[in-house]
Amino acid sequence: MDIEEIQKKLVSKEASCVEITKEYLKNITSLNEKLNAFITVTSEKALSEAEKIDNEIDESEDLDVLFSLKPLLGVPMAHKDLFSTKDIETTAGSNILRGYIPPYDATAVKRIKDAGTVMLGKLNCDAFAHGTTGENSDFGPALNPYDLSRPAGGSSSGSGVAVSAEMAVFATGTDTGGSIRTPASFTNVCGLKPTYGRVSRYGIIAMASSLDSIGHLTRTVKDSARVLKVTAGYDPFDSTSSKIKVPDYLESIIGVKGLKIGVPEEYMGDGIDPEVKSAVKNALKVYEKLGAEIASVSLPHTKYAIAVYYVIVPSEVSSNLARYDGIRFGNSRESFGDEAKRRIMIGTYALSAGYYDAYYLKAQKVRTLVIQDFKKAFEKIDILLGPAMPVLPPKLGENSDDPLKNYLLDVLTCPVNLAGLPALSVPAGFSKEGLPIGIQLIGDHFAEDALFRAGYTYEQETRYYEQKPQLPLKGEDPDGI
Amino acid sequence: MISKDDVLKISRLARLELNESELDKFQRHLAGILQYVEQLNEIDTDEIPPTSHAISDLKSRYQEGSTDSTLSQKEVLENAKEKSDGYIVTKGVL
Repeated sequence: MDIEEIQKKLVSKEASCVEITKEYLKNITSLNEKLNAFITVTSEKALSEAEKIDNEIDESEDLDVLFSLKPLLGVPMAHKDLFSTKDIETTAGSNILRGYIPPYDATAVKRIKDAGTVMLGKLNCDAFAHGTTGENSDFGPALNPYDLSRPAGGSSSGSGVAVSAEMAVFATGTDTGGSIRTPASFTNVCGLKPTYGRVSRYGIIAMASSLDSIGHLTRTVKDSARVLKVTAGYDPFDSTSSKIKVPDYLESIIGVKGLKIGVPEEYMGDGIDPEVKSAVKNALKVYEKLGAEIASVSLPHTKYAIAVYYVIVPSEVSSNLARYDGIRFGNSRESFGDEAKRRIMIGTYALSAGYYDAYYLKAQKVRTLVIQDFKKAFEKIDILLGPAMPVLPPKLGENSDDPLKNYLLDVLTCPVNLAGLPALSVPAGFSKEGLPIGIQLIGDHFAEDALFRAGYTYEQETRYYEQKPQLPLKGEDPDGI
Repeated sequence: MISKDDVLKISRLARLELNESELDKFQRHLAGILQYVEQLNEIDTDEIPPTSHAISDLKSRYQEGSTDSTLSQKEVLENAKEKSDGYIVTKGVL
């Protein structure tokens, strides 16, 4: 169900919030053992919140007013375990934070709660969001509901799985180099990475502070717009949050006539899986049919983006993870996993005296060139379109001995973070084997409205999101595990 | 190329304890990653300014100092495993 369907049921009394919540909890009970999407399930809290919402609806004299004050009223959702939740364990998918219970809510958590949602629990992710497949979680990987022999994609792995397998209506995520768009495209859901600074980072466990973007995964584009309307906006607790007004995204969400779509030639090169390429080409045909204008553009510094990214990220990681000293909270530094250790060490090296200019400063300068590429493209076109991921979901363990091979999967997602741009990943069909493929729409700073319009128009035409994972799940032991 | 001694030095700076086999593994990984990063030297960046932040209109801000929106000591300590006299109790570190 999407947000609109749920709220219709609540208004017409076809179902109560408790009944709807129970339905989602039932899905979690029957599927989570196989998919490993949730780290913590907060059933009791969820049911008591749902009961309160039912009372609120019963006692309301004007439901229109109630739903406009609480635009997400009655919607069961879940948070990536990187989001601080008051009095609920928040692990960041790591052993070092096992047992940590925050005394406060992240701003995004508070806003989503105040909008009337029911929180179902906390979702699996790569430890500290370091990863592209979800396999760096200290709680084991979340598995892909379209094929259990493959990971869900990371780092917001549990978020993709929960929405895809209907264990939550929507889920929050963070995107530092693709961590929302990757699981979204691997699990056939819609993933939004907002403009840097659009959503407050306060209370969300930091990875790389100059790149971290706070977003969400939903089944549909409209739901994505509804959630952003709630989470976006200035927060005095985050000095990098923007004061730019949050528009009403639903107001003009349809139509792409005359929209100028640029296809970066570097995003359709040799390294891209042919099935992914053909899905993108099909999407372009759909857009052309709907009246958009397609043009080829060039982002010449794309091939350097990963090198820039894997200097800047570890540098900021080494600083952000220095706070885990085993004193104020968390366990000792010995409990860091391999990927965190790798990033801390590369960052420590890149920032150390004598190497700073050669690595960090050099990367910051090439970052400027990556941004200039995008800005030049946006002089001529409205949005960019390309694959979200260069490959189909890999097999579990496929790249485990070679971290660099995993890093290279971020080639089409991380440039967007370096430039702080918004991007939306939308389902674009399936491979011959039945694996989901996503396209990525990239907009200029704060142009989320253009992305929703392009995404929604395409989604309504193609409706790939309606093809949900089939039960029993592919690769499932029929006798039960 | 980054040596095992370099890796040992970095790990000490970062307060990470590595055993011999981890040292070998991370030396191999770090060398590979740093070698990959070397390609940035193909680009002439003498005239290019560095970017630390992608959004140009974000500036450092000051705000009124007030304490009403801050967590109280009681709230901060509420979920701590062990506490005493308003402090969190930890293992000795010095």
